[in-house]
Amino acid sequence: MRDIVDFTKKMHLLYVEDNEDTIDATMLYLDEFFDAITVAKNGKEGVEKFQKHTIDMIISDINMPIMDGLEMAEQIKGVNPHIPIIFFSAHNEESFIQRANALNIEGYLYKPLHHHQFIALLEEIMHKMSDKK
Amino acid sequence: MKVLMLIVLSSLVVNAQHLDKVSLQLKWKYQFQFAGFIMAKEKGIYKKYGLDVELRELEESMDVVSEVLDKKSTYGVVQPSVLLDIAQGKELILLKSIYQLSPICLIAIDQGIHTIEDFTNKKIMTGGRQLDASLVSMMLSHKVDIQTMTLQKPSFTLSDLIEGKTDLVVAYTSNEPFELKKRAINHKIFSPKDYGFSFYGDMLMTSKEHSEQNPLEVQRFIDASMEGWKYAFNYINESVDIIFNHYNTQNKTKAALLYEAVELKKLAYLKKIPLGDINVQKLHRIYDVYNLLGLVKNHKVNFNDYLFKSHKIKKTPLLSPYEQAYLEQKGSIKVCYDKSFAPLTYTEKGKAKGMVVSILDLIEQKIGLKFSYVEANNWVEQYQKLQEGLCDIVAVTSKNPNHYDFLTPSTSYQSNSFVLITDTDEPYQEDLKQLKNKTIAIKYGFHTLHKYLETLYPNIKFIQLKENGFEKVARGEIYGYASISYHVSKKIAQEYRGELKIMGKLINHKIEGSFGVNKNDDTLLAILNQAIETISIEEKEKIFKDWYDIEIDREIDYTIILHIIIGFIIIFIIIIIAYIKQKRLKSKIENMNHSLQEKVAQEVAKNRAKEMMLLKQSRLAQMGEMIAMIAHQWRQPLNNLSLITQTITLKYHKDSLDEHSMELFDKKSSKYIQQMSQTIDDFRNFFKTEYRDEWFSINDAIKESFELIEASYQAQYIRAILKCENRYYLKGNSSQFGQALLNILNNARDALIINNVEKKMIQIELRDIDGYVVLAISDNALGIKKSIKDRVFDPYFSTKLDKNGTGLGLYMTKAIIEDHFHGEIHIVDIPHGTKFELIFKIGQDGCRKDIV
Repeated sequence: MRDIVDFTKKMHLLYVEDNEDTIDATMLYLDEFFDAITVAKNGKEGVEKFQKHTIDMIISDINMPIMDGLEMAEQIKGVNPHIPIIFFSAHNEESFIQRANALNIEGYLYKPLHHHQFIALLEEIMHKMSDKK
Repeated sequence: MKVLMLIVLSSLVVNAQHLDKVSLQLKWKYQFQFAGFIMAKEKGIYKKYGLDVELRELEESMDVVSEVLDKKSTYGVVQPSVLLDIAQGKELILLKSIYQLSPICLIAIDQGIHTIEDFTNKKIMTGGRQLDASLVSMMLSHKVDIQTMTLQKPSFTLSDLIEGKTDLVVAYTSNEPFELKKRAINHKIFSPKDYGFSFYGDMLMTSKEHSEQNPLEVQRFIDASMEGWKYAFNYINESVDIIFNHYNTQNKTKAALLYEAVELKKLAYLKKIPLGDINVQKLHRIYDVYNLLGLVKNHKVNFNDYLFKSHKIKKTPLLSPYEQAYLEQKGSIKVCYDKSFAPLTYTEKGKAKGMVVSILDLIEQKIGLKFSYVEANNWVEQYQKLQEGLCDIVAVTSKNPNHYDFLTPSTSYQSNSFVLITDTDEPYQEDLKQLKNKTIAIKYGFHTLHKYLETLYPNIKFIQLKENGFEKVARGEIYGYASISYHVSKKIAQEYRGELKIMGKLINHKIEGSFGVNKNDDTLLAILNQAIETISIEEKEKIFKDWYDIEIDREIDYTIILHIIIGFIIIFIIIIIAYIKQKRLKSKIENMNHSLQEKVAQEVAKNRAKEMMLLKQSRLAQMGEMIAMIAHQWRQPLNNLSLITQTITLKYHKDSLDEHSMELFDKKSSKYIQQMSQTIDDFRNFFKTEYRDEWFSINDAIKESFELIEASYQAQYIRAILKCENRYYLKGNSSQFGQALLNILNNARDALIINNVEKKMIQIELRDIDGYVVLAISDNALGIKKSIKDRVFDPYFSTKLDKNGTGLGLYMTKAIIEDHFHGEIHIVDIPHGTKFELIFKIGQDGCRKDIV
């Protein structure tokens, strides 16, 4: 756990979500892991903020107005295929998962969030990234 | 005593069963090497699998492969060189490899032989065995030139080696070393497996022809043999005793057999490889070695084609070998069915169809049972045919009650209510026990049910009908007809819509449908019961739902044609009589007019009763909808709450949980809990059951209904536009009105999702035109197909039955709007969508307008 927080604290997270209440509650939780979090309200804003800042990791909702999470991930992975992207969504429909799989996404978290799943996912990403180095 | 009983019973079972005679050609004399087969025979395992196996020792100048190909033996034990036979085009199928590694080796006692390189110029004795490819490869890989070696005539004793007549003998690690150890002779063993040549040991095979013709028998032989092998390796001492006492053609000592057993067990169980496994890659690797040695002419062989494919019976280990043997012997199971019991069983184009036939099809797929069908003209005939031995089971019989002493009902595959139908005009009866002096018909042949119903309802006269009971009720000849609800609701929906209705359940518990199995056939009963167990609830539901949705072609009923012809003759006679007696004709016409008026009045009454029944049915469907809507509303706050609790836990573990953050968490969680609790209240108010007529605002009703489904709209990004000019009021039950709106809104949402519309939109517009209040709900879900437009308000009509459509939503909406609020409902085609218009006249029937 400490390893993970040591790892995440160094990162700049982009968090994309359209629902205010969810942003509110999720930020409380994410604050425990990340010191630098940039919030975007939809996929388009997500892409813009990704270009503006040096982002290390992305957590995003799928279903959003203007541009959904999948389209955003597609564009961002096009620029940086190695950036870890996690979807955090109530969606568990086959079609979404198939589309997401095609994008080589690091993982999904279903709402409501399970702490150990999130940890496991971060651990996986951490190992993957340290392998690359 | 019990034990004795068991023995007697089991021997009876065994005696009663049919055994297939097969033979197994071994590749050597009896010894522990074949213990699995010996034990399978001695312990009655082959018998259990319906097999009578003859074991055959190898005789001089006998070739196992030819024995099997010439059909002298059914099965054979061979060595991996069988791959060469296969490569030469011999049609063999490999079943199992008893040993993952071969025990074959070379043994030297000469002090001068330390490594394989020392073999050069040495004498080698092949004994009774061949200098097999693995040995050759082992030597070649160490650059031993075999040409320099002297191959000596075979001898069957070790003395040649001991006496120094030869330098090396071909041996088995499981046999010869024991002798040498016993005599305390120092020796060195060279095993190919230690030098990277891991060849299979004994392999079990049969001819391709035999395995194609008798796949089930082959599967049983494999299963039984492997069970025998497991036994042999688990009970080595017992196995050695049996071989020593009954199969000791080589006069081996017990100690030698025991040594053999221990050595061979190591070769049979290698790492985590399952006993008997054949790996096709390994076969190809062995074949590659043959190739390198130049033993192969035909280079391309896919050994996958020569491996036995497990028969699907293996996937259902639930059937005992005896049951499998029973089925194999039986061929197909004959099923008698009533040709006129749609949708459970019926005949269409000469074929058996229906829900139960689908269940049998599923069993066919799962267990590999085969069914053939024997049609019966009616319910009773199916039982007669069963008694006459024309079939093994009847497709449908009631399990509770059953009083047919010649059959045993299987586990039930479906339960269904036994319901009463009457003419829609009949007043609704809360308690059917109150019915007196009525005649209710049931299907002819439901004898036991008949008696049972009579004890339940002593005041009702029950009769059994061979003819169409629905028709008799529709014509008013009898009060009611009773049958299982699947049958009834199908019939009503397709043929008697608006004419007949379901009055209620006649029997409180559900009637369980099952197969009726011939009393004497306990094995079949056990098999069917196990088969039914394998069908999941979901699978059953799918079958019953699918069938419910299928239009059944009605058989041409020649009695109807006969009736029509008779009818015409009667009319013809009447006309002649009428022509003669004109005066009487006049009065007759007056009478007819009178009855026509009556009919109209009846029609009006019919609608009310029908609606009562459907209201009841739709309540359940609404509950389902409600739960789905609550689930939607709760998803976000529930997620937020879970995030907060997890953050608290995190902070606690980090010791950073201070008062400030606790306050923050408390405030936020209260907010989310409040949201969730509000949802519950909204729904409770909305679905309150008490009925009260009062003035309510249409605007508020729209708002309340919309709030309930708002979350599910948002989740799908459906844009909703509300346009209300003024405030309008209706008198009646606001909750019912709200339900009517919900049905339309849900319907529109589902249509938008199913059609996957790009920019989903719903518009609700409330205004008045020329003294009418018009509530228009329009969507852009591409519109309703012309072919079904006329039917969307019909009860039980749904395009979403596979999801959770009940086919009652829009029907209920129409009933509520027209009957309770004296309004009208129309569907209007608009570009890219549909518009529902609800119209109420201002000023009368409880509709008013306030100018804001």
